[in-house]
Amino acid sequence: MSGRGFICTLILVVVLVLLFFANLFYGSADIPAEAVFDILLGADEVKESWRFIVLESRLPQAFTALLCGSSLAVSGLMLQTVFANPLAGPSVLGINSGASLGVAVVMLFLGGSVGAGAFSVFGFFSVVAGAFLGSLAVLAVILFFSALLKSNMMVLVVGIMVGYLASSLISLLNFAASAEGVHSYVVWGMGSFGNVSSDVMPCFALLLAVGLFVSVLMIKTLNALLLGERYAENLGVNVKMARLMILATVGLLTSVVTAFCGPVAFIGLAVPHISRLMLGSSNHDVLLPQTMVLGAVVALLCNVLCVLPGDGTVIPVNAMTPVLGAPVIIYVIVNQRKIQYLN
Amino acid sequence: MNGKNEILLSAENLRVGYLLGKKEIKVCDGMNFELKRGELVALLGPNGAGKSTLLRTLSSSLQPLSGNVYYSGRLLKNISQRDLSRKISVVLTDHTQAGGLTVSELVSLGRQPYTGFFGRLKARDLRLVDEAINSVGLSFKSNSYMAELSDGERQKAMIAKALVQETDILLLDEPAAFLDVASKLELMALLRQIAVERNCAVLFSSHDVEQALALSDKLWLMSRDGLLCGCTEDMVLQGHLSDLFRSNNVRFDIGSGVYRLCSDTSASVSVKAQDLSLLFWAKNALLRNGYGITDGLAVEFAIDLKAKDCIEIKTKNSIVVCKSFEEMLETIRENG
Repeated sequence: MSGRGFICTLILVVVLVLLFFANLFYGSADIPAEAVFDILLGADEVKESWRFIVLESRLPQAFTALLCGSSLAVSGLMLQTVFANPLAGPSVLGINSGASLGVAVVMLFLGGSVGAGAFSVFGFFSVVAGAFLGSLAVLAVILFFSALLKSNMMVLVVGIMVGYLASSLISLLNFAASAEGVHSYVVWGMGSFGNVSSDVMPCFALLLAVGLFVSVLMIKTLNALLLGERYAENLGVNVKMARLMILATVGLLTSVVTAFCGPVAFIGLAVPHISRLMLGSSNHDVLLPQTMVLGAVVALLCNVLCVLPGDGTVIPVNAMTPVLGAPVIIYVIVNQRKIQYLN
Repeated sequence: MNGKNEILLSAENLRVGYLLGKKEIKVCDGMNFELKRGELVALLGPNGAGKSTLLRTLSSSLQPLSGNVYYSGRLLKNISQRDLSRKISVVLTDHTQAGGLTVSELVSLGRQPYTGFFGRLKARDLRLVDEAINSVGLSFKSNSYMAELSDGERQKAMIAKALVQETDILLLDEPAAFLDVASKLELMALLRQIAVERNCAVLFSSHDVEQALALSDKLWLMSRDGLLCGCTEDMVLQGHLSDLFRSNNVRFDIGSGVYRLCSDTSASVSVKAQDLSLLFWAKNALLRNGYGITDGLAVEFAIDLKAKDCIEIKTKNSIVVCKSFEEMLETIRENG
């Protein structure tokens, strides 16, 4: 690891820890810092409601944000490399929408739910399975068109179109569904890291950990893919297999995140760019681990910023991510001639 | 095994092209050839003749429509992709996303066929990477980003990547396409050096006939009719270069080794000169203006170049002395 990469990652890890604790100490309920300390250290003489809020709401929420941020950022990075397109990302390519469609089918008609309330094993797995199938369906369509179309820009446009199609299907489904179903779907669609209860956490964390682990295993292949498919092939990479592996991993990560937290936009698109701009490098040896950490940092930051100061109103995550993400993308597009990894 | 004449790559009745659905799109047919160790071979041919298709087939990224390709006597398609990545390396015209890699990071990618699961480089790998960067003359840029390199330097970096693959065969698809004259010459010299010093076979496609003739050991001429292979000079003198481009307006001038536009000769001229460079440029000026140059006596103009500012022109009824080529051409035009 180069000196610059090491320092960048080190700083990010420190920021990550700080933000993680910020998530525990700051929230819509006003809990004094000493009380949070006591709760975390396991002291007994604290208000029961505060203990519940910190341990059963803020702690799982911080973990969720951390995992989701990492997963989405790494997904975006892998998509950008595989499609050789700096504007690729789970939300741009319609993978989010595919997952949403799957979730809509399950939530509106099969009664599955990811709500924080009563947890049913069936509900949990059916929503995740729905999201996974939906995202894989979109990925298959994208893969098909990427083989057909030479221009990566066109593939991107196809992805956007597929996203619209999925959205219109979802609207149709909403018509046929019960008001209650529609309400829970709309709330889900605004995005939140607060839907993963500590009961579901182990399953949720395990699935994402598997996805993140596999993406670390793909580092060598991703580097070869930077040269394009034919060079990669000549370096001994089985390109078709590699593509399939990477897209399946992206499907897993994105669908699990989307199932629980809603279609969170911009983290997958923007974080890889921030990461490359910081490092100045597109070498995945350093870039991929750092993107994971940075994704977590950004998600935790969003989660903190979503709690408005004052009366503690919480705004949806999807209202915050574009505020951080969109300027980055605009910066990258405006400066594309000057940014070496785009040349 | 490492003899100079060892045949590394050969083909029998090779037909290359694409499959579009179930339809075969044949590009070139009936090719037979041998590629030997230590040879620098230029693959020439008009646009659309199938040079890239042939190179893709040889690097196994495209399957032959029929016929066989052998690597050291083994069928190419029976060699695993990983093994092949240690036997044949390529330099392509493909667009890469490598701008954010440093030269040494890029060249290191060439070690992927040898490194383990995570691609970690050992001492030997690092040494080979340094050596390769050195031998293409990019050591001073080894920590620069690819985005900061000129086209010529990028091409050299890709060649260094191919070198660290430690292959017997190096295939290059139009390596000199976007380069200026100086970079082109350097690149060709580098390829020649690789073929000789590493004793491997280097096959490159090119549109630059002049440089191919000057520097390559063999020519592979590819046209719609098939592939003709042979030693450069034999191919020239047998007149194969004249048949390469099927155009009525262009013909190959064996005397100077370049293609020229044909034109109706308006007058015949004989030329005599003090030195060869004067003779060469006089011919250049006359041919460009459509005059036929003959050795016969029955000519309209007899030109004697005594020096570059003393050119004597004998017409049927007078002798004119010109001070420059410009004046010479004007005189001929006025009297012609």
